[in-house]
Amino acid sequence: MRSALVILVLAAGCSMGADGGNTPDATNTSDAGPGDGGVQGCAIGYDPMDPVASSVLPIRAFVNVVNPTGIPTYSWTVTRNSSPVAFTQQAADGSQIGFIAATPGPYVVRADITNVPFCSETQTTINVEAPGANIEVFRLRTVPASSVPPQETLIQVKGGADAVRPITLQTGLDAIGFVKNSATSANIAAYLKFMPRSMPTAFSERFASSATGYSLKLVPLDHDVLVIPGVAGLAPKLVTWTAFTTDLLVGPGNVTTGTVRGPSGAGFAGANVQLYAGGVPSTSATTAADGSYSVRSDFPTGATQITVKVTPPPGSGLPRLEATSAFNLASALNVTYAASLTTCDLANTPVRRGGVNQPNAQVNIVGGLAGVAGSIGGVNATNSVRVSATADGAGQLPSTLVPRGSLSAVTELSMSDHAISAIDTSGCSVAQINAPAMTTINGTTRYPNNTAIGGVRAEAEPIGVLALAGVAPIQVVSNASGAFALPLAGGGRYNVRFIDPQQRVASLVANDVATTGVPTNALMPKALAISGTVTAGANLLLGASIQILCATCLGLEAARPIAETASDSVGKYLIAVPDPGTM
Amino acid sequence: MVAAQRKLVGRFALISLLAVSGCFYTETVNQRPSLDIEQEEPEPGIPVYREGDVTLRAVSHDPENHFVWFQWRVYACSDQTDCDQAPFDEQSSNSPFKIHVPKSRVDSPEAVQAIHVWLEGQDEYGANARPAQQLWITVDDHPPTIELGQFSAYDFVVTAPVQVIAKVDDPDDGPSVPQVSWKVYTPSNQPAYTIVDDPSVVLDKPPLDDFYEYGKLLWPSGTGKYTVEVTATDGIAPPTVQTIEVNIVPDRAPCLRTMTPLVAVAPAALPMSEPTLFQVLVVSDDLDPYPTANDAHGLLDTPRFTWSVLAPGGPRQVLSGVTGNSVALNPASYQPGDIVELRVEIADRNLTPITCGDGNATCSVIADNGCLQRQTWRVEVR
Repeated sequence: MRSALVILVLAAGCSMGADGGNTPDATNTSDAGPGDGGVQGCAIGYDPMDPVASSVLPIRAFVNVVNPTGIPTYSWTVTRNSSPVAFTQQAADGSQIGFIAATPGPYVVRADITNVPFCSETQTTINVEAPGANIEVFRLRTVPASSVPPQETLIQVKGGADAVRPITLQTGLDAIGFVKNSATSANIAAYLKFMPRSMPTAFSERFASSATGYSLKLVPLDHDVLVIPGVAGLAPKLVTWTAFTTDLLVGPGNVTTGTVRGPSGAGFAGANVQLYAGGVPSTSATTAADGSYSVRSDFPTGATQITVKVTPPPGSGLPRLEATSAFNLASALNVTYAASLTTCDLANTPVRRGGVNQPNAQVNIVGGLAGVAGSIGGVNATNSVRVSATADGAGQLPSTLVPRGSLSAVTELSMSDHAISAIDTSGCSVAQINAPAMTTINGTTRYPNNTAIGGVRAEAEPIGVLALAGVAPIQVVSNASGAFALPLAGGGRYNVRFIDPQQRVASLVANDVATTGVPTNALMPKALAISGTVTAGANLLLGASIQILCATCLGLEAARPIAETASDSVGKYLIAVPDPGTM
Repeated sequence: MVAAQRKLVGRFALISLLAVSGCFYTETVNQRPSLDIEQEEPEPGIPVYREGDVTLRAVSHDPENHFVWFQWRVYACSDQTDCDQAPFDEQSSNSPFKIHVPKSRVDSPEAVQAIHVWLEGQDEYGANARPAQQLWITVDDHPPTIELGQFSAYDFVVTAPVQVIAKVDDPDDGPSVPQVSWKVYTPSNQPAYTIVDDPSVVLDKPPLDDFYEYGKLLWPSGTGKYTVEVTATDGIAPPTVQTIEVNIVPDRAPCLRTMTPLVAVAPAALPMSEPTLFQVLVVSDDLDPYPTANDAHGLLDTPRFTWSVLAPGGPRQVLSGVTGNSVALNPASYQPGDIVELRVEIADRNLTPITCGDGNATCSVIADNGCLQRQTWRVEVR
C-alpha cells in the first residue's frame, strides 16, 4: 500500500500544471515561527494514494507536523457533499483517523490542530474513485482574463465519480522584443504565434509593430514562434524563443519560381501559389500574365514534404490544385493544368425549388473532378472545385464557367436555407439547378434517465460539399420540453453536437451523419463534475476560461471544446465532462 | 494617680535590668504590607459579561519595601449573598490576573451575575496583609451580537435575489436560541420586494459552530438602496439591532471578455491558412454570462450571439443560423488574399440595439471601451 505524498513544502516553489492529483493541498508551513526559529507546519496525508470506494476498506488520513511548540491536539472532521462522514481514531495521539468511503467522489478531511504555529487548521480533499473506473484523457485548456499566458495540460478523468482538481497556472515570464530583418537589422511588423514545444496547441498570438515590438507573457518553456512578416521581401519563418530571447530574426529566405500553365498550355495569369512545409507558409504569389510566379520560403530544416496550393482566379472555371512531395525548391516548380480539362458555361441556367425559379439565389458549384486535373512539379495534384455565382432577378445564373464533371450544387436561398443537388456538367447540358426544400429534423433532448431536458443547444456543423461551399452551421436550442427542430439541407452531411450550456449533462456528438442520422432521441451522456479553484502564483484567477478538449484530435476538432466553463468571482470553477464510466 | 505611679516604677525597673546586663539589642519589627485591587480591563463602569474577561492588578505597599506574594481567589455568585463554596479560579501570581467569567455557577445552574474576588498577600518575611482585599464585580447579560453579510450571484441586479446572512452570537445564554426578526426599508420610490427564508442556508448553531446563522433572500423589484434591519434578543438584555445596505442596480450590459484567436486591428489582419474556430470564451454579465452556470434560481441565461461575415465584393451577411459562442471559418471558402471580416455582437435579455456604424470594428452600447458588445476579426485568407 502506497502512501500519499506527505511532503512539507519547506521552501517556496512553483507548481506547474493543473493536476492536483493526490498531492495534499493542505500544507501549511512557515520558517519564521517563534520559539525555536525553525520551520513549522503541518500537512494531511492519506493512504491508499488512489483510494477506491469501498464499504470495507478504510481510508487512513494523518497529519504530519513539524516543530510543534507543545503536544499537538487534533480535532477532525470528514465530510462529503457537506454532510459529515463517520471516522475512527487510529492513533493514540489523535493524529490519524480512518473512515469508510462507500460512495465515490470528493471527501473533505479537515484537522484543527493546536500547538503547531501557523497550522491551526489544515484540510485536504481526497478524490475517492469508483471501483473499476474507466479512464479517459483530455486536454484541459485555461485562458485567463489577465496577462497570465494560456496553458494546457493533459488530464485523466476517471469514470463514475466527481473529482476536485485545482488548476495551478504559471504566472509566466515577460517576453519583450522586436522582430528584425536579419539582413538589415531593421525592426519590422509581423504576426507572431508562440507555441510551447511541449503543447503547441496552447499558443499565444501577438502582432509586433516596428515601433514597439512585441510584449506578452509566456510560460518559461522553449517555444516555436511562427513569424509572418508584415512587409514584402521577407519569408515567414519558425524561430525559437527561449527565456533569453529578445529579437526574432527573419530574412528573405529562398526564392522559388515557376510557371502556372492553363489547359491550353499557355501561361495562366491571376492564379495564387503558396507553399507550406513544417507548419510554415511561404509568401503568397499571384501569377503574372505569362503565368510566372515567385515565392519566398524559409522552411524548417528537415521539413522535406512540401505542399503546394494553386488557386485559380474566380471566373476561370478551373479547380484548385494541391500536391505534397519532396519538391526541389532550387529548381523551377511548374504547375500544369491537364489539357483535357474543359469548362462549360452555366449562363441562364435556372435555379429552382419546387419548379419555381429562385431570384438572387447564391449557388456554389463544388466537388472534386475524377481523374487528374493537373500536376505540380511533375506530381499529380488533387483538385477541388469551388465556383460561386448569384442568380439574377429571374432566378437564372449569369455567365459562370465550371469544369466539366460530376459535381454538387449548393444553393443558398438565405443564410439559413441551403440545398444540395447533384449537377453533371460533363455534357454542358444542365437544365436546372434544383434546390430541394430543407429537411427539418425534429427531436427531443433527454437526460441520461430519458426524461426531457430543455435549453440544450443542437448544432449541425456542415462537412463535405456544404463545408466546401462555406455553409455556416445551424444552431438551435431545445425548448423547455426538450423539443428541437433542426433545419438541414437534404443530402448534406454534418457533425452534430448537442451541448448543454448549463453543464447538467455532457455533450452528445454524432459525427459525419446524414440528415437521417441525426439523433432525434438525443440521450445526453452522464457528466462528471470536476471542480476546484484556478490560481496563478498566489492569486486566484477570476473569469478564466476553462475548456475540456479532445486529446487526440487534429485540426478544427482539436480546438472545439467538449465542455467549457469559466472561473467565478472567487476563482472557483465547475465543469461537466463526459463520464468515462466503469467496467 | 496610683496606677500612673506603678507604671513609672515598672519602666524604671526594666531599664535598670537591661543596664545591669551590659548589652542592649532588639530586632526591627516587620510591618504588614497593605493591599489594593485595581481593575485594568474593562475599566470600572464598563460592563462585564459572562464569557468575558476581566483583568485585575494587585497593588501592594510594604513599609520596608519587601517583596509581596499575592493569592487570588474568585467565586461565582448570583448576588452578594449567594456564591459558590469553591472558587472557580485561584492563582498565585504577581502578574496581572486575568479572569474568564464563566457562564454559570458550579453550585447551582444559575447564570453568574456577580463575581467575588479575594486578594491576600504576604511579604517575604511572612507578614500577612491585613485586611484581605475583596472586590465585587457585577456581571451583566451580554446582548446578542449580529454580523451581517450580503451576497448576490447576480451582481445585485434588479429582480434577482440577494442573499443576506446574519450571524448571531450569544455566547452567554446558550443553549437558548436568540430571537431574530427582520425588517426591510425600501428605497424612496418604494418598489415592491419579498424577503423569504433562504433554504440554501442551513441553520448553523452551537455546539458545531459558535454562532447561529440565518439566511434570507431579498427579491427586489426596483433599483436603489434597500436597508435590511436585523434585531436579535435573548430576552434579558436590550435587543441588538444591526442594518446592512443592499444596493440594487439595473441590469448591466454584457461585455466581451476573452476571445480567440487574436483580434487584429486594421491594417493588420490575422493570417488564416487552415479552418479556424473563432470563439468567444467568456462574456461577463449579471444575468446572461457565458459560459452559463447552472444557478439555483434558474435566472441565468446565455447571451445572444450574432455573427456576420463581410467578404470582398459582397455585403455583410448575418450568419442567421449561428446563435452560439463560436463559428468556424474555412479559408477554402474564399480566395487567397481575401480580407474577410468576421464580426460577433452580443446582447443580453434586454436586446439593447448596437447602434454604431457598420464600419466600426468595435462598439460599446455604454460608451465604455472596457465593455464591448461588438468585436471584429480581420482575417487574411492565405
